[in-house]
Amino acid sequence: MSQAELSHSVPVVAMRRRTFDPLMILWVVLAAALIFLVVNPLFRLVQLSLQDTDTGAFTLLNYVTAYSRPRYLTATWNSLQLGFWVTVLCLLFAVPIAWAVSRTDMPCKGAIRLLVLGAFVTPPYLGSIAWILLAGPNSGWLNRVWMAVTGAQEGLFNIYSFAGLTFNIALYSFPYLFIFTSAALDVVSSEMEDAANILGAGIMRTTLRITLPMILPAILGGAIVTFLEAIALFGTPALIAIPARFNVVTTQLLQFFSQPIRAEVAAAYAVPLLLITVALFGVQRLLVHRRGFVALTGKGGERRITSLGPWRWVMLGYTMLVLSLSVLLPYVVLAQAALSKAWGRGLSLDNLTLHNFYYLLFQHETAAQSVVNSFTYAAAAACIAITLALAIAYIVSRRLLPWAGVLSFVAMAPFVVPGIVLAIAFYAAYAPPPLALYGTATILILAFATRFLPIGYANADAAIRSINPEMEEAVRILGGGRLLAIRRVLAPLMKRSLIGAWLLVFIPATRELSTAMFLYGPKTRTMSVMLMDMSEEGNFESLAALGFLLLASTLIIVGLASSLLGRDFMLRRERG
Amino acid sequence: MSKSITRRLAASGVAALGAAALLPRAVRADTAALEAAARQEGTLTWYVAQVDGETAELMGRAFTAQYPGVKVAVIRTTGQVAYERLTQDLKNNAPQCDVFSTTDISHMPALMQKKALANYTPDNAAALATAFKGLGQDGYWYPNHSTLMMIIYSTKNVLPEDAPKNWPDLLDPKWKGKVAFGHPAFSGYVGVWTVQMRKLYGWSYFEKLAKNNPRIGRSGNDPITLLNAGECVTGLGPLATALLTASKGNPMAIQYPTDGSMLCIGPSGVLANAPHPNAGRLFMNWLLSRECAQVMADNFQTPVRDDVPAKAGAKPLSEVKLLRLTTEEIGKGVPEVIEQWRDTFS
Repeated sequence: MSQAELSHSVPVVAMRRRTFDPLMILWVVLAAALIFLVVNPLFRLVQLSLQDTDTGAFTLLNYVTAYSRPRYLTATWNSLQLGFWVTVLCLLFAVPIAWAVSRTDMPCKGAIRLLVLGAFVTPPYLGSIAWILLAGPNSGWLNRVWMAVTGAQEGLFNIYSFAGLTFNIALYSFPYLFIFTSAALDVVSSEMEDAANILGAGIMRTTLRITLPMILPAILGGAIVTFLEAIALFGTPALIAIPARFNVVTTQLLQFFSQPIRAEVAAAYAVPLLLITVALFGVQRLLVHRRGFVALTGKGGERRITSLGPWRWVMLGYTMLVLSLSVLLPYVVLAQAALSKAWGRGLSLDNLTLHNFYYLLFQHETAAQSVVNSFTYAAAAACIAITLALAIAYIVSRRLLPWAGVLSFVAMAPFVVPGIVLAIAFYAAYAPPPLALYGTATILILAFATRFLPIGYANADAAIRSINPEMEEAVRILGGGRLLAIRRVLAPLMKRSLIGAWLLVFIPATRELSTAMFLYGPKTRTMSVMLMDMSEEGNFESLAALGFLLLASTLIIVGLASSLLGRDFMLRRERG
Repeated sequence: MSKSITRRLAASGVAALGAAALLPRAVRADTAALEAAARQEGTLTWYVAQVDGETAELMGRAFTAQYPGVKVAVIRTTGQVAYERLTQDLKNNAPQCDVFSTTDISHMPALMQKKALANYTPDNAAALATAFKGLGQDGYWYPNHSTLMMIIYSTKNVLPEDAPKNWPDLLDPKWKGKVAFGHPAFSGYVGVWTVQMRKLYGWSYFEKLAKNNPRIGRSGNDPITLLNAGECVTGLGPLATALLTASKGNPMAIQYPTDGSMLCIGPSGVLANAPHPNAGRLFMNWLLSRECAQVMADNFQTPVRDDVPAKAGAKPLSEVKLLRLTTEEIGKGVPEVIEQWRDTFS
């Protein structure tokens, strides 16, 4: 135990002897909140999977049903393959770009950061609609260009295929890996690279043998998040895999909710998914633990920019290629659809209209409401998640109470639960009486808060750890209470990183679909659900317009918050 | 405000708390009283699958224009999805929907069995065209929508003489990868059509179709979009949406199949536990009204009343060779073909 810890644990022990520690109450409250949000729903999910539909008696039959048909097994296999290939693609997209932005003299870094942010705030299902317009086998823009140029009878790309689905998901999942990788690159100091250089290693060798291994834990973490995102996505498979005529786990889960509703079978079908993700994290721990990464001190050292020479243009070209596919091209084609009377008629003056926006904002009875819903729920969820995360992180990092580690573990647990599984768990736990939260805003907000609690926790934890406890101790030595120390010292110091963490919960919550899909009611439709409903009849013009509304509002909020922060919140860490 | 309305309002308040049994039975008061009570409720939620989203929103606005102060929250989705939603609402005893308008007529007897439908006889029920009378269950649910599921094709890519003439023509390899359908697990009308095809040609029809690599969307309206986009050139589509699209200048044409057009009936009913029982009843009555029939006709839907003529462009039903199924055949067949469909097409 270090001296600092020793010195501050003494008054706590003394205080506990004298009176009952009021922090105990906080601990109990937090534990209760976590049991409510995390433990109970997951417990109910497992319980439900072992129940007979009618009698509620114990049975293993649901598992037999869930895995008895080849079709269901194929769906699981498809999802695993999908997760794997999406992760591979994302590694190819994200790691080189992150390295180039963080460590090289590649030009236009500011624009690239902005475009990655664009990819991050684009809901994946909006991206897939854009890609349907771009790579529909007979009518997609890219295919029409290909046919016109080569005179071919058939298009080159088919978005309605396994490859199309994989590619499409990867285009909108890679920002996670980008953030993980560049955050790690930003804190690894160049000292070791310098050492390698001095010993005669070239750029390539240094990067591959020194830099890469040091950031490998971060990349692995990002890869697992990417894998989980890919298999838990609902919107993109619904738009692409259903017409392409294959199933993945999420579309299969939805089928269990069609007539006759078999929530028990769905639960049984979802449990192995949970086990797979737990296993993945186990693997990650093993891998990370075997490597020491003391280099990640977060302090000291200098990060030097590698000069790429002419290669920097090659790097820029690659980066721009990825970002064009992910952001530029899709938004051009979406803009065309949003401003068209009939997008199939192509670009022409008499096809231009603002009617789609007018229709959504002023004529459509529920579209505007869904916009408001999305942002209110996301904001509420972000507040809940950050408050909880902060309180837990504080208790854990200052070791105020015994068993704090358990809280931290449970707060991170939703990380391994795919959104759609979490939704089913919430449905099982809180839709029926006594709470009867079915169709209410509350169940959506709570589910969103739970889903993104780990993001909040990881950020709050990092923020608190970065602040030396000595400053609070100074307050306490001068006679101030812990609450005063928190209010006057900790809060002001952490304000900026907390806004950043809030945004990191808020943004994915505004576009969350897989959780909302199972929990929304007619009055609590979010924009994501609205978009899916519209896609059902292929109303791409209104859909694209709604997508733009979502994007514009998100960007305004991000812009406001960034100006509060004085920096872009996700792409750069302050260098220690 | 009269006493009777206050009583009804009180009753509806109780009903909203979940005591559906306390609802006034057979609310057949005069429309004025119903209207005032509906205005008190101010809004209603309409689960609808029968028309496309834009037409549904248009109908909602037309109703509000006629009864200012009563708004319609339109929840447009496919028939089976709407029904799943409704069943979950019922199962969780969390009523959301006031009026349910589906495309799978067998949903209604199933709801009757659950005692989920309110006993209400709309005044306008008497004015239903003869062809539609007796198709529902008087006092509970009524047919308010009908359409033909038929062959559609894109005039930009297909000459009229080359267009498919009957349902088996869609199996012709020349349409490979370019023939579009909805999905019976989503669309009620597509489900009904699938049952009919199985009855006429056996399931082998769909096994052959699978070899033609059809494009399968979700809604019955999906093929319309795919044809407009140039993604597909022919397929199965509802008459009304096809005509509406063609009227907007899209290259869309319809073909009455020589082996018969599928007549699909869409029913509506007020829910027994409707959160807005009066607004719901007023809307149900309106769905069968002349005004509504006019809005439907203007959008190429087939009116279910004789006093509103259908818009030019469609043949009168009497001149069309029709295919039709009983409610029992639909109720038994649709769940079966959904499973078969998933095995064949996934």
